[in-house]
Amino acid sequence: MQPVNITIDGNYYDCQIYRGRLYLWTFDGVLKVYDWNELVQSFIKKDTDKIAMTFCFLDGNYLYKSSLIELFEDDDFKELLLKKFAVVEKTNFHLSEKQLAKFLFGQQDTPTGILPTDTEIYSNKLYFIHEKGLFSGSAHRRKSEKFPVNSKPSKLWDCNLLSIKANRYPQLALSGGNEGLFELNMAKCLPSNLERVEKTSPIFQVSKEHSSFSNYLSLDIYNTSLVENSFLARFKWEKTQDEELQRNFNTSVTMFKVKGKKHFLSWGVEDKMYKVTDSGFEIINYSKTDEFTEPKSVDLYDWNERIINGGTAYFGNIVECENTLVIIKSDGKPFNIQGPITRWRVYPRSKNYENHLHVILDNEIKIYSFNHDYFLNQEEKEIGIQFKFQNINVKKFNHQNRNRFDFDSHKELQDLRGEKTNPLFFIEPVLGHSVDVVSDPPRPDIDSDIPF
Amino acid sequence: MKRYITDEEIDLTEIIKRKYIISSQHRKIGNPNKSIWKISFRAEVKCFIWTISENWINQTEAWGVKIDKTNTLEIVGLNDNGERLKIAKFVDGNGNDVWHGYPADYMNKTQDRPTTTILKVWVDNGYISKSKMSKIRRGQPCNL
Repeated sequence: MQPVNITIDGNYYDCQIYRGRLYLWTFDGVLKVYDWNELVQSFIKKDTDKIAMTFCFLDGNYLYKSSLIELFEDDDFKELLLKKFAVVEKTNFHLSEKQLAKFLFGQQDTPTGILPTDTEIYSNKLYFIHEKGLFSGSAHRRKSEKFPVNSKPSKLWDCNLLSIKANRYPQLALSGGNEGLFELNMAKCLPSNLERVEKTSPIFQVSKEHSSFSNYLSLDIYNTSLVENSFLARFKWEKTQDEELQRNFNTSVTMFKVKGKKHFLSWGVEDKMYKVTDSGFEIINYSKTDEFTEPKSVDLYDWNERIINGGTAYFGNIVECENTLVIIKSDGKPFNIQGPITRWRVYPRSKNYENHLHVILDNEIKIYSFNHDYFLNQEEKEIGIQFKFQNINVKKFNHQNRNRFDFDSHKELQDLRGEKTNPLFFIEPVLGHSVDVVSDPPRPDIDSDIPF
Repeated sequence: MKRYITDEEIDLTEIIKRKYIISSQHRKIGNPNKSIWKISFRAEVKCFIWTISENWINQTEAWGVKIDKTNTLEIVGLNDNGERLKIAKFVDGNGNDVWHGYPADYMNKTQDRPTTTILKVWVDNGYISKSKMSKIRRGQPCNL
C-alpha cells in the first residue's frame, strides 16, 4: 500500500498543521495560514472518494478506533476500504500557488521577522526558535483577528537553540547543542531537583550534555546528540508536602552500547527507542511496567548514504539520509523520497494528522498520508509507535476542571495504565461511565476536544 | 606585498574601518577545542575583508566563506577531530573593532552557526542551498 500525497508548489522553509489549518513559512519570510479542511475537500470530486480522502488527510485517527478493529477482521470490509484507498493513491493531487491562494485563511510577516529554526504549535500557541531565542505567541486565532498568529510574540529565553519538541503534557524539550538539554515546563507543579535557568520563564536545565534534538517517551526525554553519546533522561512522580504530584528528574541512562569512538544515530519517541545500524535498527521497547526490553536487531535496509536525522510516527520510522528521506513503514517496507530536503515533519501527537508526513523540497511541499498502519496488528509491529486503547471506568469527572478526571488515588491511576503517568487523559465517552481512554496522554489541543 | 604576522594588529581601517589579528591559537595544531585554519594568512585576511564588505555581521560577530570560480565553498580549516570546515567566524572580542577569526565548527559549537539572515543571503547568492541552510541552523551534518 503506497502513501497518498498532495503536492503544493512554492518555496517554503517550515510547516505545521494544527486544528484544520496548514501553516506555511515561505522562504521570503511570510507566514501563510490555509484552511486545510477546505483545501482537502476541493479534491473530493466524487462521493465515493470522500471516505478515503477524509481518513487520509482530515481524520487520521478515526480508523484506529477499537470498534473498527473488529470490522477490519471481516475481509469484505477490509477489501472495500483498501479499494477506496487504492483509487486515491493513483490520483495526482496538485495545487499551484495561485490555486492555493483560494484557501488562504490569513498571512503576515513571520513573527520577529526572522525565519524560524524550529517551530511547534501547542495548546493554541506557536513556539519558535531562532538566533535571538525562544518565543511564543497565540495561534489558531479567530478569523476576525488581524493576523493568524500573534505578531508580537513574547520572548521566553535568549538561548540560541537547535530544536524544540512539545510533549503532550505541558512541557517543551529544548535542545541547545553544546549548551545542553533544557525543558520549558508549564505544569502547575514544577520540578524541585532541576536548576532553573531563566527567571521569567520556567525553563530548567535537564542535562549539560550535548543535545541536537529530543523527544518524549511518556515522562522521559530521549536526548539525541549528533556529535556525542545520546541518552534517556528519566523522570519520576513524587509527592510534595501538599500532596501535589511533581515530575522530578531521576537519572540519565545510556540506552545503546557505545563501541569505540564511532558515532551512531539513535532516537526515542513514545514507546520505543531506535539505533540505526548498518542494515536497519536496534530497537528497545519501553514497556508499561517501566522496564526496557533488550535491544533487538531488525535488518530492513542497507543505508548507502550518511544518516543525519531520524524520527518515528505510527506509520513507521523516518530516516533522513544526506539526499534521501527513507521511510521504513510499520509493515517493514521502505518508501523513498528524493531530496534535497529542507525539512520534514510528522505529527504523532496530533489528533487528526498522525498519518501525515510533510516534506519541504526546493520548490514544493509534499503532504503524504500513510494508511497501511490501520490494517496492522499494533501489538506485533516492530517499527512505528504502537496505537493503544484501553477501556476503563471513570470514577469521577471533575466539573471544575473539565480537562480532567479525578481518580481515588494516583496509584489507582498508575495501576490503570500500568505505568507512571500524569493524571490527565484524553477521553471519549462511550456509555454511561464507561469511557475509551487513549492510553497515551492528552494532546495539546485538549481544551476544545473534551466532548462534554 | 605586506607580510602578515600572527597576533599583531593589521590595520584595515582604510578598506573596512576595522583592524584584524591573525590569532596564533588557530594556527597551531593540537590546541584542544580550537579549530585551525588551512588557508594562508593572506586568504584569511581576504575572507575577513569580504565578510565585512558584504555586511555578514551580527553585532560583534560575523561569518564568511571562501568560494571558488563556480560559487562552490572551499575548505577554510579543520576542527580538532580533523573534520573539514567551510565556514569562517570572526569576532570582535572586546568590542573595539579589533577582530580575529577561526574556522566555524557549527556542528560541535552551537554559537558557531551563522545567523538565519546571513545564511539566507548565502542561499540567495547561490553559495549554499536552502536545504543546507536549514541543516546548519539545526546543527545537522551536510556536505557543504
